[in-house]
Amino acid sequence: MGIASEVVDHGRVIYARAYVRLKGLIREPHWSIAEVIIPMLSISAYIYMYQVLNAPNEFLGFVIIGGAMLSFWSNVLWGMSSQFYWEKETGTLELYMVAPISRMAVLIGMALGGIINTTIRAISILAIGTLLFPIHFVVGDLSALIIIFVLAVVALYGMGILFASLFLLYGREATHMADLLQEPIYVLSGMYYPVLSSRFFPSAIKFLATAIPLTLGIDGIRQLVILGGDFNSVIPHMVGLAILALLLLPFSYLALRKMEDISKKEGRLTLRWQ
Amino acid sequence: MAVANTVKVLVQGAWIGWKVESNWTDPFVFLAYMIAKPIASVFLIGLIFLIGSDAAGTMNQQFFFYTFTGAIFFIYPATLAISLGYLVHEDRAKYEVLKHIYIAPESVKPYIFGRVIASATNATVSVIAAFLIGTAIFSTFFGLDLGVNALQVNYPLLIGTILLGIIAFGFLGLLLCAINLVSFKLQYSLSEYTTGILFLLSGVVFPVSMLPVVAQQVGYALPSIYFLNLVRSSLSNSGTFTLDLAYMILSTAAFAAMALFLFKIAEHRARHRGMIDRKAEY
Repeated sequence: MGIASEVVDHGRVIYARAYVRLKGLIREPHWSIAEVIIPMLSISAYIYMYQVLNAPNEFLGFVIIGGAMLSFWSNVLWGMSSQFYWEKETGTLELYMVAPISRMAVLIGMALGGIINTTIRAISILAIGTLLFPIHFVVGDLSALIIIFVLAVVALYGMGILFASLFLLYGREATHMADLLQEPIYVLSGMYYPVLSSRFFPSAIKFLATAIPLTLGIDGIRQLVILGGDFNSVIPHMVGLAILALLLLPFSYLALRKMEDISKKEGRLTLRWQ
Repeated sequence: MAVANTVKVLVQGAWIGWKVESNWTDPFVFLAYMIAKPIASVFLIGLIFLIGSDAAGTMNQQFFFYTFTGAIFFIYPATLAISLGYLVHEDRAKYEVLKHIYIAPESVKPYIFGRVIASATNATVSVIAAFLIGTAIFSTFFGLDLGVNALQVNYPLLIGTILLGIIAFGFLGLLLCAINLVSFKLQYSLSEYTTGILFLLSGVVFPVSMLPVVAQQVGYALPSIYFLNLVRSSLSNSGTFTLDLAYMILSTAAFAAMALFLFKIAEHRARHRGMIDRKAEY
């Protein structure tokens, strides 16, 4: 089999898995609506809290940006990391395993569909937030914004593919682990407040926080659309995100192979109700 | 005999609830899980307070008490809404035991309230851990004092409020079970909607007077707002709690009546349409 036909095969797998995600958007529109409305409820609460505190208006924008990016994190956790567990529960994982396809292509397709879906949700959150609250976004450098966003999303979904591979071994632990990775990541990545410029976080914690693609992504986007930053002000963010993307993607590939091997040896691929 | 059976099912429900929620891992990991998640939520609120206050240039300690206690005790409605929001789906489609519970005598409602006891026990552990660890960290590292004197807390009011809250949120859970009995795709969004709405409308991290009038009216109909007010009154031992207590009892009774009525209707509909054992993969 030539490289060209392999590329075509991988492309077909990616398309097929992404298609399911996109089709789901239309088939279950109330899920998409819920994924916009539910985060808006807590986003609104935090905005009101900042208003009670008399915090500067830019903090309201920080919350909206963080809330929009939160959609990506939720999608990474529930739509990527725990996905193989759901597939195992519903009996489709074994079909992936017997089909002559790359599991990595399945995960990339899953990520691609998730990115498209979630971008629509994130834009909806931004739009609703801007309509409901007195927030002004000014994009000084669109190219920098696009680069930061793309790098953040690629690194984030690289992390998602890595988690999906690691969670392949799990039964019910998968959902609990995903659940556990929610709030602590909100705290560390600065979903609702700036972390990297805050005096309340020690340098070691800030360094640790930059290992989460969300931290650099959110901070970079806030710099560009709220704080009036330009291309140069977000170069460190771009470098950091590029490093994370370059590390996470190959590492996730290796993890997937290793975990698949262990799962097969231990007979965990078809285990249900664990 | 009927009472003995009900108590037996209640105890079994609590035991199963404990097993389902905890036996996916070893006890130490489960304890860490139970503590880490609520502490992170409380930290999030504390840091928003700290960073927002710093940016505003003022530090309102009273508001810190308000938000911090709100975030900690909100663990009760959140835990109960989430665990009971998934209950019917898990027991019907995942573990396929709902039909067996239905054919056992004196079963469904006592079973659900047994699960309420298990979730409330877990929530209590989380609340105590979040309160102790959160208070220690924010006072030690950030100089934020809650101003709660352990010797002056109105413990009878605090314990009574928590018990009343568990009953109120248990009936809220029953309501979610009723909706899930007659639907198949709502289990995830339903509990998230519920916790989100309660978080926004119950005065958890800001006073409801900030909200538009219609939203305030909805908030004042929820027992959660009075639950949090009463908890704050008991911790600060402020003496003005009679009205909140009356509203809490009233809203709990109204909630209970509504939940029981809707559960009966949902159950009737589910039995007639063969939904008790219908398998759905979502």
